[in-house]
Amino acid sequence: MVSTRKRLPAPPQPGPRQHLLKRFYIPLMLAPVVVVFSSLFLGSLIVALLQSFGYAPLYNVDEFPTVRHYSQLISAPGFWQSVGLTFYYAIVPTIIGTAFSVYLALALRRRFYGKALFNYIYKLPLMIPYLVGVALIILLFANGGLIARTLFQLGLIESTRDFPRILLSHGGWGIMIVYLWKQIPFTTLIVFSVLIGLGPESEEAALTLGASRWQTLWHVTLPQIMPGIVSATIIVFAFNFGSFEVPFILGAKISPFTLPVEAWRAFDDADYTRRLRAMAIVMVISLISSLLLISYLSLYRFYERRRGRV
Amino acid sequence: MTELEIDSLVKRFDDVIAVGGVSLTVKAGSLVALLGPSGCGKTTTLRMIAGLEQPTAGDIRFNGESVLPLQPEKRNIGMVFQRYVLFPHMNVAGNVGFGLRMRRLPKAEIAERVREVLEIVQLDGFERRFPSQLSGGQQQRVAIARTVITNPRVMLMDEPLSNLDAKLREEMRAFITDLQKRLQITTLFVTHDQVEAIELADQIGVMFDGNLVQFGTPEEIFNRPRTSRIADFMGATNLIVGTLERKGDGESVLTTSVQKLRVGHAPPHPVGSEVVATVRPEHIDLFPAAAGGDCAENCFSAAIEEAVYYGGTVSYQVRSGDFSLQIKDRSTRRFARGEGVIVRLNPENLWVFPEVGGEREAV
Repeated sequence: MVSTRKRLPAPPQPGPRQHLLKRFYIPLMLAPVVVVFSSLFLGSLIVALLQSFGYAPLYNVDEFPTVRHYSQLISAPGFWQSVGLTFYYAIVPTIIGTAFSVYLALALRRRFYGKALFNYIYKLPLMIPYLVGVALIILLFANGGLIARTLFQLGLIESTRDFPRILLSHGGWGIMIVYLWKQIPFTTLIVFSVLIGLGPESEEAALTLGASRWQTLWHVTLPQIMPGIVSATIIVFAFNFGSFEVPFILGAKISPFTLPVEAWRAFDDADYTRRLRAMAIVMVISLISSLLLISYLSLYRFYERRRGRV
Repeated sequence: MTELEIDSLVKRFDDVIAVGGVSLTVKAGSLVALLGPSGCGKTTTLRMIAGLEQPTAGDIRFNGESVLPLQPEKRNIGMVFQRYVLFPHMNVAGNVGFGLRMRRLPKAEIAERVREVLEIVQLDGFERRFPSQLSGGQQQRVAIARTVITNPRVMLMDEPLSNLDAKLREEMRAFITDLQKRLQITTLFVTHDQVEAIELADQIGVMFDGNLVQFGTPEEIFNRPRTSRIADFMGATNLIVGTLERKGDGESVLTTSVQKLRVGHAPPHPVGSEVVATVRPEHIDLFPAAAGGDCAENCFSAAIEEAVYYGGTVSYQVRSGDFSLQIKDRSTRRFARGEGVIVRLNPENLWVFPEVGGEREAV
């Protein structure tokens, strides 16, 4: 039997040139980003790595390969205190900020008077540079600051010097307030977006199944917004760990300093050869940060795998 | 078993009245469907029963006792959602046992009851699978299992079949009917699908614009709709305008533009008034033109204007003068477009409404 159905013409086959273009189309389109990223990030990392191992012809130093700068750094008095202080300034605000942000994001889903205004105001610090936050903290919390002077005027303290030392101390509350001022809006924004995507149905289902509000939060809401919380905490922690300007301005002016401040002090030394030590510190910061983030992500993936999500 | 009573329930969102004074009773162990188009207030009614919305006025009672002061988690209801809403971070056993875990029952008892319920919903062996590894029908069965395991006083179902394909929907309808009869749980089922409501429910409440416009058995709603809008919603799309010429003992006669039609009931409306008769497309008989001599009553000649094949049935649009009717006939015999036919309207299948303020109300 002869088929009367018309055959469609075969689609034109791509030539070798088109085939090649198709193959490299995406890499070519990505090339500008890759070049900028490589030269700015990887390039500087390689330069820092080489200098930390003694290769710095710019400063007339070429003792490559040597681990001298690392061994001197690790055996230096106060190095481990610096590591501890850097961790302290990074972890405490991350934990406090995350807890506060989750609470705020949950509250923002409810209807309350002035919500639209609050919704706008809480995001403002995201648009303002850290240095403005630093200036604000000095203005408010310094011993000669607005709060200390107000308390003195009210007769609650005998002298502005009696106001608790929040800035320029190893306690670092001034540093952490600046971090929180900037990072709470950031984490809230991320967690709130995840919550909006999640919708209320999951929680409603839990409630109708007999779960209390607290059980619903703990067993249903938090596990489902965990990806958002993890992403936000990773970014916030990484920033805090490597942050320089905030602890440099608001931190104590005596040793120990945070690792980034130590690196800056070495880099800014009149003796140029100390810049190699600064690079060793930078590499230590990068190594610790990377190891922590990798372990944190591995742990999180393990948690997600156990829950069948990955 | 629990009787659910809704009494003059009102829900207002700012200036919008979502539910405007709905009252109905779901007898213990029965299944009632709330049927209506999108936005008619049926889901809001369900959410108020669940405690997820606070009513503006009215009362909700379980066995005569108001549940309004109770939080959702204290009402002991089960709710099955349109989008299943399984917890994606828990496997099937975790989802099904969730309600019992929240009640802090011993682990061994939870495991035993999960096993039993999964057997009932024919998902034994699926305990360790996660929702993302299940089909739509399986997910919906897990959602139902998660609800029935807590022995709810009332089960609420919010369009639970609307996300399933046609074949699965049919299977799930049979499954839900069977399960509900077996467990005897008082159930309120929300749907916009009239076929679903008729197949599943013991009684149907039809809702339009926040109001319950008719409540009755599926037969009553299907065959004796109270208004032309309900008739239209239930698929009776043929409306025949006429004048009530006379009425007698259990029957009446209408004069229409084509011919006189005998109607199998006597509307209490005065003789001479304008009325509208409705008849379902599947209740009209169609014969070849040659068979015209055998048809004695309510018959007239017409021509096929349109014929659409639907597998088991064929949908025809026929015209006779200014009469245009939709007819559904079996597909074992076919009429061609333009072919002459004889149409018969069975007096028992004609249902008469008078005109009331734009909406025709049954008499």
